[in-house]
Order: sequence, then structure tokens, then C-alpha cells
Amino acid sequence: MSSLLEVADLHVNIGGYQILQGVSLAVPEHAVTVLLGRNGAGKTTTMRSIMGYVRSAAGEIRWRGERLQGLRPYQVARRGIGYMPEEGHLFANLTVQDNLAMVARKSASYESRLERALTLFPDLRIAWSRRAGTLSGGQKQMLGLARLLVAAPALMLIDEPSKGLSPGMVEVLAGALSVLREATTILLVEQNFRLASRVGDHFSVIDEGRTCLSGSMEQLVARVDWQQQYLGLTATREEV
Amino acid sequence: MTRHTRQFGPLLLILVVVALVPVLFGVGGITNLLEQVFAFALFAMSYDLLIGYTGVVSFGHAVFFGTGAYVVGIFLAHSGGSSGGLLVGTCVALGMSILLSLLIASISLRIRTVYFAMITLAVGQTFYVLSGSQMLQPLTNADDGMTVPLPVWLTHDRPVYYFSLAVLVLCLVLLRLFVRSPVGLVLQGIRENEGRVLTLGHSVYRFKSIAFVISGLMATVAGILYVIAQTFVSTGVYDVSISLDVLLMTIIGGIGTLYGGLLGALIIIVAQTEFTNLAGTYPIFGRYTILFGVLYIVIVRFMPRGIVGTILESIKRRSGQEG
Repeated sequence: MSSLLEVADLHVNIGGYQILQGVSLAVPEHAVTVLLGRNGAGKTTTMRSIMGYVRSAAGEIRWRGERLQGLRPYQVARRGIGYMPEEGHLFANLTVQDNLAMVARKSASYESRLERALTLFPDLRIAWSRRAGTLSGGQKQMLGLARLLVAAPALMLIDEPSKGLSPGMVEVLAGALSVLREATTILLVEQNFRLASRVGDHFSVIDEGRTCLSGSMEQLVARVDWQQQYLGLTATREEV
Repeated sequence: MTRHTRQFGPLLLILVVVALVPVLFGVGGITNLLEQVFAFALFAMSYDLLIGYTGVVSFGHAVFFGTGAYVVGIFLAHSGGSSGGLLVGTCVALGMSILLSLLIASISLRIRTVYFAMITLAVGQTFYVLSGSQMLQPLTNADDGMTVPLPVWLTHDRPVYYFSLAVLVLCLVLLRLFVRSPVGLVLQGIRENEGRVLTLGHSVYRFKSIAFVISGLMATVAGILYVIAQTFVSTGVYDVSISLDVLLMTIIGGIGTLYGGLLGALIIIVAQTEFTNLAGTYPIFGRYTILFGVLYIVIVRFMPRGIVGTILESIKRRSGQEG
């Protein structure tokens, strides 16, 4: 299976600290790759480096063979990489409609993509004229995902979409991610291992700024010792 | 009642009343005052596009207003007040405005907002000094300013009034369409958070430049309306106080509303005129800028969305409660 995105030995320094010290990962096409790791391991910094928000000190980020470093974030986005950060991805004072309309140079398929997004997230149709800032946490995540669906990038970078959501909303989110994965390739940062294992095909674990383990999600699910060693999971927590 | 009727009904009513002013009150003092209001209302709306919709602060927006007034003034003065002079002058002024805004954008829009504001202030002051310089005296009449003859069809008060009103309404409609367009939405996104707009694949610099060019064009048209209303132009049109006045009009009316500029211009121009008249009898009113300062503080403190913004917000809240 060919890789859309390849990150090789990525190093990033921020404010004199070495945040990433050798992150490597490959994101295969038409699959969900989950980036796992403890808090502060460097998962979000990896995402921001790919998007061009953070300058790398060494290593390579290649998109379909093209080096991404040196491009501005909007140029990275135009190459077909959509990004939904952990929080603050919406325009709070604009309506749901406006947040969705902003993504696109409208194409012939825009209306059908919009319709698909609204079918997947019917709450957004009801909240169509409401300001995004007034939505609930779950609705905000739905709007962020709907915007990605409307933009239809070749790769979606999604950073901790389940953070702060109720168990019910996490279920809705899992369903939405399952639909998204049929349409595109996803690189997902997710702390909720249960969700990650449900939607993921592949995984990479980052620990202290380095990639320490990669493979198929099936392997990780089968290896409780890996889960304990690299993710700090206990059997009890996994079952929750 | 449909949403459009609710939204545009009051505006249409105001437009009808304003259009009837010359019929009801005759021409002269009140129509001359309103012609000034029309010019500054358009100027304030052009500024609102920049500060209210894009989040870019300029302290030298008078450079566009002044260019519109001066260039058309020069062409009219040197063509003996011909329609051709007005037409060519307008085209040259708009062309200069585009070039000037692109030039300023290219050197200053990539940097932080505060430096952009400083650069616009410097450019504005440069034009202020240039317009009064002896070197350009044959063109501008330097510090003395110049009287501007108008084409025959604009030599009476009523045609000038309706011409100014028609241009204002046309520009308002165009601005309204612009801010509701996909480009306008991206500009509003930039105002909220530039980083998020980048994530969507939009070049912030390009969109800010578009906003700056459109805003500059509208301010130039405002300057043209001003010179037609005043039939006189002087270095004052480039003065930084004009930029500050329009900032005050926009903030009092309500930033990010467009219509706020109309109300802000009405309040400030009428107040300036009335205070100046009163100052003849009561010199204290000559210090009206102090009152404007107090008004500015009160609005920013208690109505940060301005008058129109606060009203719109309250209507929205009430309709939300009813719904």
C-alpha cells in the first residue's frame, strides 16, 4: 500500500526545548493511522509541523513525494491536507452555514458534499443559522468534521476529536469517523484507546518526541503488554 | 413578515424619507449637510470593511479619501468643470487608488497589524505634506486649496443631492454583497483568527489585499462625493484628523455592521456642524472634540458593538428568545 505522507526522523525545537527528536511515520492511503502517546509526547507538534505551523530543525516531511517543509500552512492545505486541531478550529462569531461555506472554492460536487455532511450530522441542519460559538462541545466537533467532509481533502489530520465529549457523543463521533474513512485518508491523534482501536487501521506511538512503535492496529490490540508499556493503559482502563 | 422584509423594510423606509428631504424641506442648508453625511457615511463604511470585517486598523485611510477629492478636483478645475473631466478624473482617481492600495499592501500587510497602522499613518502624512507643497502648486494650488467647478448638470443643489444619494446607495449595495460573498466570509474569518483561515487553504495576505483595495476604492468614491458636495478641496482632506473622525464614526455607529457608518457619520457631521455654529455664541462649544473624546470612551466602555451593533444584537437576542 502506497504512503500519501511520510515523515522521516523529524526534529523540532521550540523555545530552546527539543520537542520532537526523531519522529518517523508513514500514512498509507485509504486508511486511518492513529498517532498514540502519553500527554506531551509530541503528537500535536507532529501535526502542526506537517501543516507548516511549526518549523522543523531536521528530518523530512514528504507529501506524495514532495517535500512540505518551507511551505506556508495555506499552501500545505491547498495540496489536499485538511487539519482539525484539538480546539479552536471554528469561527465562533460566524454561523454554522458560514463556517461550512468558508472552506471551499465551490465546485460542482460542493452541494452533494454539503448534503452528505448534513445527513451525517443532522444537528447542524437544525443549528444552521446559529453562531458556532454557541454550539455544544459535541456539536462543535461535528461542525469541524463536517467542514473537513465538505472540503474533501485527500488527507485529514484530526487532533483529539473526542476530548471533553460525553460517552454518547464519542459514539456519534466513532460513527462519523467510520464514514469519513470511507471517503479519505486520516491521520488521527487520539487518547481514547477504545475509539482509536475501533477506527484505526495502523498506529504509531510517540514517546518523549520519538517514534517508538508502529504497526497495524490489530497487533496493538492483541498486545496488552505494549499498551501498558507505551500507552500507560491498564486492563481496567481499556475496558472503560 | 419575511426575514427580508424585517431586514430591509426599515432601511427602505429611511431611504424614502431621505429621498423626500429636498421635497419636504427644500434645498440648501439641510441638503448640503446631508451631502456631506453621504460622503462620510461611505467613507466610514469603507473603513468598516477594513476594521470591522477584516480586523485591520489603518490610521491613514484619508489618503484614499483625499486622492478621490484631489484628483477629481484637479481634473474638474483644469477642464473647466466638464463632464469629461469628472469622468476621466474619476477613472484616474480609482486607478491611483488601486495602485496605491496594492503598493501599501505589498509593503505592510505581511507584517503585524500595529506596524501596518503606523505605515498607513506615515503614507497619509506624506500625501498631506505633498498636497500642500509648493512643488505641486500648479496642480493643487498648495495650501490655499482650490475651488472646483462642476458640470452643468451638477450645478444645482437637487441633482447633487440625488446623485450623491444614488452613489451612496449603490456602494452600500455593492459592499453588502461583498461582505456576504465567499470572499467576505473569509475576511470575517481573518478578523477572528488568521491561523484558522490558513488551515482552510486561504492566503491571508491575498484576502487582506483584496479588502484593502475594495476599501480604498470606496474611500476614493467618498472623496469624490465630498468634492462634488463642497466644490472645494484643500490639504485638509489628507489630514490625519479625517482618518480619526472616520474611525470615530465607525466605532460609534458599530463596527462590523456596515450600516453603523451611516449613523456614525450622521451623528458626527451634524454634531460638528451644530457645535461649530454654537461656538459663534458660546465659545465653549468650539472645544467639541473633547465631547467627542468622552463620547468615544462611553461607547467603547458601554456599547462596544456601537449603536447599530447593539441594536442588532438585541433584536437577534429577542428573536432567539421568541423562537
